[in-house]
Amino acid sequence: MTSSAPARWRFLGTATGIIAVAALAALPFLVDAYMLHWAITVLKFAVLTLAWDILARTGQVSFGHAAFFGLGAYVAVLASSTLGLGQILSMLVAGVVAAGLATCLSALFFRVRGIYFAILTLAFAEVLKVCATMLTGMTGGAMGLSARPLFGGDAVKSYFFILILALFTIATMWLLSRTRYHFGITAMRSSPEVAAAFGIPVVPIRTIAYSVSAGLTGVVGAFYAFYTTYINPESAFDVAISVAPVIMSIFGGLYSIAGGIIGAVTLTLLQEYLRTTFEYGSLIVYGLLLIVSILFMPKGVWGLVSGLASRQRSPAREVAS
Amino acid sequence: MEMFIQATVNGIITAGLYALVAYGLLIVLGIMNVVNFAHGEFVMIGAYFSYWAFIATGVDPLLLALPVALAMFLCGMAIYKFTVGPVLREPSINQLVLTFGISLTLQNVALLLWNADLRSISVPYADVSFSIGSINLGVFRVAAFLLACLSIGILQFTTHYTRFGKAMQAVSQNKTASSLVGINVNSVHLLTFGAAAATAGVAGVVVSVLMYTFPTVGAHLILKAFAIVILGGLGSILGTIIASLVLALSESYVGTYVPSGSGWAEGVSFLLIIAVLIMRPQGLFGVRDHD
Repeated sequence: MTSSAPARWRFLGTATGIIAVAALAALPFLVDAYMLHWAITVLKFAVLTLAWDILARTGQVSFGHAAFFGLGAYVAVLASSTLGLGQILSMLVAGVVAAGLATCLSALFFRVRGIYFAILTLAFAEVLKVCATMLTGMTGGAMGLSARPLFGGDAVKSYFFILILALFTIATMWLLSRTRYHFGITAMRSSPEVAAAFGIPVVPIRTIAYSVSAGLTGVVGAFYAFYTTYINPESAFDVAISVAPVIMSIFGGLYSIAGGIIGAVTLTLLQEYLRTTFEYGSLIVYGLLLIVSILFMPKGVWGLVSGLASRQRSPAREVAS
Repeated sequence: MEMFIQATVNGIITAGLYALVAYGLLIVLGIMNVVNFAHGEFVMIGAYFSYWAFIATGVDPLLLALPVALAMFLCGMAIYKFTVGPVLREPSINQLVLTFGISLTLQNVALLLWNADLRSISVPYADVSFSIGSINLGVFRVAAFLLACLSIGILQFTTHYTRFGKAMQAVSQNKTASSLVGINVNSVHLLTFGAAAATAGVAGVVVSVLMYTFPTVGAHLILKAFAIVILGGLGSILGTIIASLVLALSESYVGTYVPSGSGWAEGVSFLLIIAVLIMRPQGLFGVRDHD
């Protein structure tokens, strides 16, 4: 009984994964252009949420990932227009620049923690927004920049690009959870002092997590710039970009791949629907969901589901032992 | 020189408002260790309260400060009772996210109800001003500034010279010891949150007079208030006042002297936050818990 139960769950997980990937690969050939746009938006937020969660796992909650999103967007557009790089290469350059910036910032930013780190990152994103607005010579100021459409406007290719990025992110996180660093990360989340006392390299691990997280966010920002063909400081460094992954992770379930995906899918669809229905104030749902999540299900939807599942499993384990 | 003095005076008037907003944020942070993101929205609600009451009755907004403060006191206690209070023992990041959710909700309720228009109050004596030397001072603006100073004074008196204020200080230092000597920690928290909301209401009245009323006015102010709290530290009201002056004056000077400076002025508070947090996390004038 005991040995077969986890094996059965693992089999179920693998099967679900394979079916999901097959369905996602077939999707663009089954739906119309409008639905495909929604699918792309959902995947975009899924990558943002999972990338944010990579850093959150180490115990540092960022409220300013829009900094890397916006930076990626501007770097990619400038790289392709002034340096003449190809679009895919520009997006990769954007990711590398964002990751590089995060690496440089780590030494300074990880001196503060908790709520102060959250405020620090929020402030940093705002500083970049002010720079993007004021350095008119390079960024076009408040007028923004326009870009050539991604893959010549081929939405199916765009879809596959963001799908591959999402799968790459999931694979990275899954592989990470197989290494022994996974335990170190969990330890430093509850207490960095204790983790450091046990010889876990807290700051280097956080630096790597921050860089990977920022790099992925930068690539998504670059993708966004080419996909919408226009960026300005307000849209690229939007506070909503910083907040979305926080809300999606908390609603779906923090520190888990499944939770991030659940949060991103549910809330993106809800938000897109509301945005097209109401002129003002559609973000009200985000606010209410945050309040309800923190008050009544701090482990998110995935926490509730896996809690129920383990409660079902535990009697069998007791009988067997 | 004239320009310099005018910029200084404008900076000082703005500093009064900043200090009032920051003080409300500070007492909640100091006493229950919660960063209240929704504080800016309390200010915004106070501003709308003042605006609509003025439109409906024509009463001078500055006279509305007391009823607005009372209403916000009750709202604040209700919000504490049903949202912040129950999660006070959870990790501080949960509280941050919770108050952020409240902030987002209130902001969007305001957008739904009153859309994004900028609204301003104009009283009959709005244009009346007096001059000291070559400096022009609007009576209405000066009165708003004095209202902010008065509120800070009342708060300062309450926290230092009353029984309740002593209880607040005790709770901020040690909750367990406070409850051992018979202080009801929970009701101190409740009243503190209410008092902070009341100051936000008064700040809202000042906002409706000094600037425009719109749904995200609180979001603009709260980031500046963060900068002030971080710069001033948790230690003393003096730190908060100096930090408010530093921020407001530097914004005013950058706006006056740097070419196309009002755009850059927006960034001053954020740069201050980053610089102080990185170089001197306990603030320039105070001490801070390490968490």
